[in-house]
Amino acid sequence: MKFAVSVREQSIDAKVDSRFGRAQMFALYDSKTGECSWHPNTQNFQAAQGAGIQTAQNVVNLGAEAVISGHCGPKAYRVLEAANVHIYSVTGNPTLKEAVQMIESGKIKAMEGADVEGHWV
Amino acid sequence: MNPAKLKQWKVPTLKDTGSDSLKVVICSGKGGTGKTTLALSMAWTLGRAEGFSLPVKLLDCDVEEPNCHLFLRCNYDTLMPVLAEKPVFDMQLCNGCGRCSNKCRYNAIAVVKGKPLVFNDLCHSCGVCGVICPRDAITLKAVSIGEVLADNNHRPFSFMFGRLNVGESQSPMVIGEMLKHALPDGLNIIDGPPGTACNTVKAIAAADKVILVTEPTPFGANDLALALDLCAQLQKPCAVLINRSDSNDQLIEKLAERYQVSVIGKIPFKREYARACSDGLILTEEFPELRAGVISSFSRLLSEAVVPLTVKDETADQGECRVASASVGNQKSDDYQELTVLSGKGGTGKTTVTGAFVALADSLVAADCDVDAANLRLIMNEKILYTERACLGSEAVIDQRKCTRCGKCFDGCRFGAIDFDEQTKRYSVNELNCEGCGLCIEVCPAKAISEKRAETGSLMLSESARGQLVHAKLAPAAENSGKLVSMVRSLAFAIVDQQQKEWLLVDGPPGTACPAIASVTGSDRVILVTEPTIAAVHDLERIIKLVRHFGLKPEIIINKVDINPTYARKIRDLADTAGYKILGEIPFDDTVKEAIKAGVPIVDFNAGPASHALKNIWNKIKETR
Repeated sequence: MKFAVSVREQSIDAKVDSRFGRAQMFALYDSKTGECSWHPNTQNFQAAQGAGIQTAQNVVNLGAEAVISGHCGPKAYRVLEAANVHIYSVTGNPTLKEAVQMIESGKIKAMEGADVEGHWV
Repeated sequence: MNPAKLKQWKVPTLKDTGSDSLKVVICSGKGGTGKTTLALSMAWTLGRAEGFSLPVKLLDCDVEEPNCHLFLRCNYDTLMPVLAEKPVFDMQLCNGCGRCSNKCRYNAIAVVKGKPLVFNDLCHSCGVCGVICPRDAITLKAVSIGEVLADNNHRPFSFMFGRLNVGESQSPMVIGEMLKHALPDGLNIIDGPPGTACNTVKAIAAADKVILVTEPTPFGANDLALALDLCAQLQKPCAVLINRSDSNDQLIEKLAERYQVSVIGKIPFKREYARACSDGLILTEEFPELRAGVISSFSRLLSEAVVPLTVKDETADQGECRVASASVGNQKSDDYQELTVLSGKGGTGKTTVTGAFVALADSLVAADCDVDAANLRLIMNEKILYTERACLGSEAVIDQRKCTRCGKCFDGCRFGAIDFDEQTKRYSVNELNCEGCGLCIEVCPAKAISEKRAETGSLMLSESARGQLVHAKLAPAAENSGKLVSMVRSLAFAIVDQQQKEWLLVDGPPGTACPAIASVTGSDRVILVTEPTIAAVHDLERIIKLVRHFGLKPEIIINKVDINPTYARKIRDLADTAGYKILGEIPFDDTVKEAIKAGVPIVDFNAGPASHALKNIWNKIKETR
């Protein structure tokens, strides 16, 4: 499965960034092949508004089948849901690989709704 | 109107303004200076003054935090909804090309797997999507974003206020709708929004005269200068009124002199006035001795208001205009704690509290996120290490050589940002109104319009004996204050990491809109400073709603707790029900004002009751780090 993971730096040992829309970059990690590519999110990191929406659109266009991040707001959730992309919310500051392992071993289930309410929903 | 009748009374006529209608906008650089107090007092006093035969109407245009109705306790009805046009897709026609999503500057449309999704609360109704859709699949449909409420039978003045729906961003649109209902033949007193951002510009642009309310403190002076700059830029006649006047008025008087504007009146500082305001009473109704002063201030406004001089800023920004700070992209690490101090309403003592923490923390970096009116630096006595210009927004610019004068940009612009000069027959962009949506660029058949970076403000790093301070100054009427706040925090993250400090203290912006949101996301700890007044409690409820959305558990400090025991109890109950901790209560202490004037944090100034309370609060914060 292809995971888009919000990370703090360009490294396979990078920790998962708990922010989604304003994460600095995304790792696109293919758990079948072990291949990993890096995609900066600078434009949305600085967006005045709607960062989550555009980030969600971007990861869908990257071909991600699932997203791993800390929190996901309702707007980003709506976009990802429309594209049938699963969202996994991880806690405890894991690294990219640890997070993927937790998901593949079934320790973490996909989210069934936004866990962080957006601004004034 | 009977001229003979007017003569009997010393209340001025509106004759010298050349019309029977007048719009007076009451503004202040920062919140909490007494804007609402003055607006209510002036409407009440003039409304019942014998001899002032014109009808008076009060319009509360602080649509994000309207407060006047709390004081009037009247029966208001919804007069009309405020409508804004939002895109609706015809799915028979849409082929999911995604051009609308690419062109939307507000990130309000996403297209995934060929399906468009619209986020109405981010949409600014600019209409670009409808214009650029190659298949005409988008139509614009009006939806409600707020409402105008009114009590036309209210006496002695009629009353109207606007309320932006929670979650919407288009406050200038609500203000614009309200201004349409101003009395065509009477005096309109308009309680404006605080700050110097786009909604304030909207209100001031409609004004015949502007009153800037301030208080005689370095903070008041700092924020007044920003408001005067804005009036100079908009070419609006204005005058200054000092609230909580005392022996330090020369601070404001000197500033007014520099801008060559008049100080038209003073409301003295008295504890019973503060108490009456906290209970939601109109000052001139309660205290007859203030009425003559309000009338004379109004009279002087009519005869003395002038456009302020354009004063050049000594710390004029230098250097290249940068799209983003070099430091943007810095992430929070876990080695320090970020403490954000907020207050829904301005003037509750947020900066006094932050200033005390700055003095008490041994190892810190401070960030002033109140970019509309940054004033933490006044306490820190800093030296600016460097400044950079932040250019985050964009504006349209018309190339006159290419322009064919077709007027399509003029017709298409939803923000009234294209000016037409009858004499030269030229179209030009009004920079203050331009939102940078890009519609004109799309509709121009001659490709004469392009986009240029607009200056949002400047970002500064300063050194002081207490630690380094990151602060910023928003350009008047600039958009993107939330983004500038993000830049301030991001630079602060870098500095605090580099210097390995223990604390990052953030002085947050007032209000609940985008700058407040930008200052609080991802913070470790949020402290809300409030005071026991009817307006502050109302705003506290809104700010609690905001921080709760971010999964944060705010801690509350009640400032000036003994001013009004009833409202103090209400705050404690509010905290109790929500399960939030009251971190401490600060008694009313006259010396706090003295310390502010001296530019010294209260805890360094003396060992009085407020100082003592703040030291205890800081110890509690340290213990629970």
